[in-house]
Amino acid sequence: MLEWKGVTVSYDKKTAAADVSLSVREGEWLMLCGPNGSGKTTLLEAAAGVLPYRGSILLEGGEVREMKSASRARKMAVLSQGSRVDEDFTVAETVALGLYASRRNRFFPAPDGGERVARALEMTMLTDLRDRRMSGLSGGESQRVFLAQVFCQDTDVLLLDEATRSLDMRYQKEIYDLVRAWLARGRRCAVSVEHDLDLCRLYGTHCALLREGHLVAFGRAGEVMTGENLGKTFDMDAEEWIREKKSVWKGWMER
Amino acid sequence: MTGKIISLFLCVMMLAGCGPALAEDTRVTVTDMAGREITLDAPAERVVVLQPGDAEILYAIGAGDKVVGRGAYVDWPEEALEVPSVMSGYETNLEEIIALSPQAVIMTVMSQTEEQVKALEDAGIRVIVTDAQSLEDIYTCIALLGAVVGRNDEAKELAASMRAELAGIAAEAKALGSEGKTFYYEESPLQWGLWAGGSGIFFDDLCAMMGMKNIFGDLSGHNSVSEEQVLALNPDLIFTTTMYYGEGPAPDEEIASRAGWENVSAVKNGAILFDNTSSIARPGPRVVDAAELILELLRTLAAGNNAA
Amino acid sequence: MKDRGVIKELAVLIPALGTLAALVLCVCAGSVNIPAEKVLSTVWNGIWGRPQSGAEVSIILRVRLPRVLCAMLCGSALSLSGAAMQGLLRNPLADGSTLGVASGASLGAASAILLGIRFPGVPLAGTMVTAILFAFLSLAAILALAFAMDRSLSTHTIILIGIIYTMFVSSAMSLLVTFSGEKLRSITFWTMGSFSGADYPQVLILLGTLVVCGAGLVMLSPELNAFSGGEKNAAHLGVNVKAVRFIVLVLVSVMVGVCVSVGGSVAFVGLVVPHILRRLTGPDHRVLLPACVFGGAVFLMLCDLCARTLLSPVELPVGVVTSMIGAAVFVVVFYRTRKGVR
Repeated sequence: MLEWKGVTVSYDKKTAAADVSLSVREGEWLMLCGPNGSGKTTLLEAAAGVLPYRGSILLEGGEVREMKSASRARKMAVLSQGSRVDEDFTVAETVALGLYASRRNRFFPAPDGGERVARALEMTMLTDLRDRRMSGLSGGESQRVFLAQVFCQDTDVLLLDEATRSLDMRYQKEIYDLVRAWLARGRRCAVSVEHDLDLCRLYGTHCALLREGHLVAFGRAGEVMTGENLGKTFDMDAEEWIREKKSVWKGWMER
Repeated sequence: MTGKIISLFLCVMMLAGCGPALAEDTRVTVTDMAGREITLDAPAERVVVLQPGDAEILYAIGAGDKVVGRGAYVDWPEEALEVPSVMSGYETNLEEIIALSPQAVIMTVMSQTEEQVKALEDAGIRVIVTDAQSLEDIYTCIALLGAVVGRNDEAKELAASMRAELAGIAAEAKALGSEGKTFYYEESPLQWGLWAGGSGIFFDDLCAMMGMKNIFGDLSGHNSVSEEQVLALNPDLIFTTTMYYGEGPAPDEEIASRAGWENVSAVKNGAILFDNTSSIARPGPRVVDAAELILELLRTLAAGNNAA
Repeated sequence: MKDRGVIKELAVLIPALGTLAALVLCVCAGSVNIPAEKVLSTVWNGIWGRPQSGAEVSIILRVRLPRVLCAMLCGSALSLSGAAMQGLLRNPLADGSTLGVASGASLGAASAILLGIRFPGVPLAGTMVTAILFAFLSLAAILALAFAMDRSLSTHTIILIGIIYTMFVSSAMSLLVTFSGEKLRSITFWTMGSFSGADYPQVLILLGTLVVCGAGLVMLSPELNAFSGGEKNAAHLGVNVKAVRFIVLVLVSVMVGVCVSVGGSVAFVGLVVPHILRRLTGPDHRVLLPACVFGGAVFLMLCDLCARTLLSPVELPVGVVTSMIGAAVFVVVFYRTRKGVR
């Protein structure tokens, strides 16, 4: 559904991604992992149409750079970290912004708008908060509203750019569970940029490891996320580190 | 104001009285129009004058040869143009003035700051500040400048002849039926918001001598006024000193063409005077010319009435 | 649900009626006292083109009415452009006057007059075109500078750039004054703003501008709403960010430029009116922008009424009134926002 073919992105005279090829199919959740500056966010933003790229990025068969903003937004939604909106908007109003691309024309909103907002609110358990102002929400609640906004956009492809960063454990799980549930509801796919390798392993069906703009490994998460590959990606003894992290919990887990 | 006149009068008297007895003492003490007392060792021989009205007074009392520098806007009489010009007003340039090595600088309240005065005095130059608003102020100013350049008699003569001429003009104006007429004195055009001259300025005094009444007589000095008021007060005469740069209609034509002004008496009767000789705006000897202009307008109007 | 719909439809009438009431009040009251019934009958006869004469007729139809209409239309246009800019830049302090766009436009208008830039046969066109051009160039320059300094366009950056730019413009103005000698008073007009001398051609030009540009902005409300989550978010939602930004800037420049060439730079209108209205309507531009059309009209008409009548027969520049009211209201609103009181 979304495919990068030999994509190269460079800005400020630096190459942020070099000749990367990736693809996501129905039902898959691709995790982009790598150290800071490895080009994972760059690839995501290129796919989202906000960065110019060389090569080809195909969204449901169409070249992203040639798509009109609105038709792109009808096929693909993006959730960024720490999204903000005018704080006087209510929850429902914020979610309804996701209807922008599907309005029929300048004077008539999307015909099924009300339904879609209600569904998105329900999916994210926000129905009770629908008339609250954004200024009164916690960070986790607010990110859930933006998740509802992208659900409301009603697309088949979802990009998440470190969507749970700076959220605590509970909200991380909440957001990721919601995305997983969303994924299960149709012929859909998702791509995440994620720093937390545990989350990648737990939720991702596929994984791409990136280092300095180059693809180190790409494939099923279980096959790609090995100590060897992670070591290459992060330039460290990853296997040792993962073992050590696990050993802390071992005693308690085996009790 | 009266204080100023009395003190000036006193010092002039003193000078006149002591003249023969103390022939060597050439010192001149005057009180200028900012109320400062200034002593000159002798009547000034080299003078820089910044304001056009003051310059015109100097030339009228035969002290034109003493002017070594003039403000940029001084343009009358013609011989004044031969004198080097210096920047005046907000752009007053002290170095330029000092370079002309005058003994006295005559500037208006408007164009001077205390720092500038002090700097000039530190350079050994006496600063005489003038501030002529009303007709009486102009006479005071004439006496003051006469004392500064040692032309007291000429100054007295000038003032006396101005008084006489103005009285004559006023009498003739009254004979033409000027008494009771109302007038409006415009200083800035409608486009930038109307400004009108009120009471306390010499133009108002001139008209008052002719028995005419300023529609904005309740306001003193210069004010931004409402267009509605002008229409409601319906002046018989309109005088304008608006700047004119030769582009578009002349100010008097522009006034006549204003929407809604067609019912104003002055517009109906063509009683609009646009002065481009600058005599209306300058407090100096040419106020007589201004009075003449008004009289001329009254004559034209009277002739028109007779013909009709 | 149905009841609410009816109430909503009625609610649309309130601002319209309010504006009409303010219009009537402002035409009835003025420097010269004329009984209200005389005023209304004169206007009524004027509308139907019945011949009337007298000083009062001139005052009402030739002086007061065009002036009130100009103030009304400028108020709408300035408030709309303020609200649109605040939406676009996601900054409640963005406005023609704070950013220096209005000063830029006045500089354009003043230089057109001093340099004698005119289009033969079309009155006002020279000042208007240069004012619009300068407004657009100012806006472009300010935003380019702001983006270069701080991509997020924080409040501080905006204010700082506005101050720098306004200072630059005022020094350029002083330079113009130096070269122009005595055309000083016209400069005062551009910097303070006044509707004195307004006439019907100006009313028509303002009306045309407001209808075209105002409608354009109102139609862009969904885009402006999408911008409230930032430019990137707007792009993700499917907004053509570059195009929308360009169109909004052009529309705002045209409106500010035309208003400035008619009434000088009337400060704070575009800041205060949207700020107050946002408390009532919420941040949704689809409601806020139409509300600004009415709110701005009422605000500026009343300010001009104060300017005309407070010290009668002396007149104040309307810019003095809007700045004073504007600054006071703004401080109060800002204080309350900071305190979290709504």
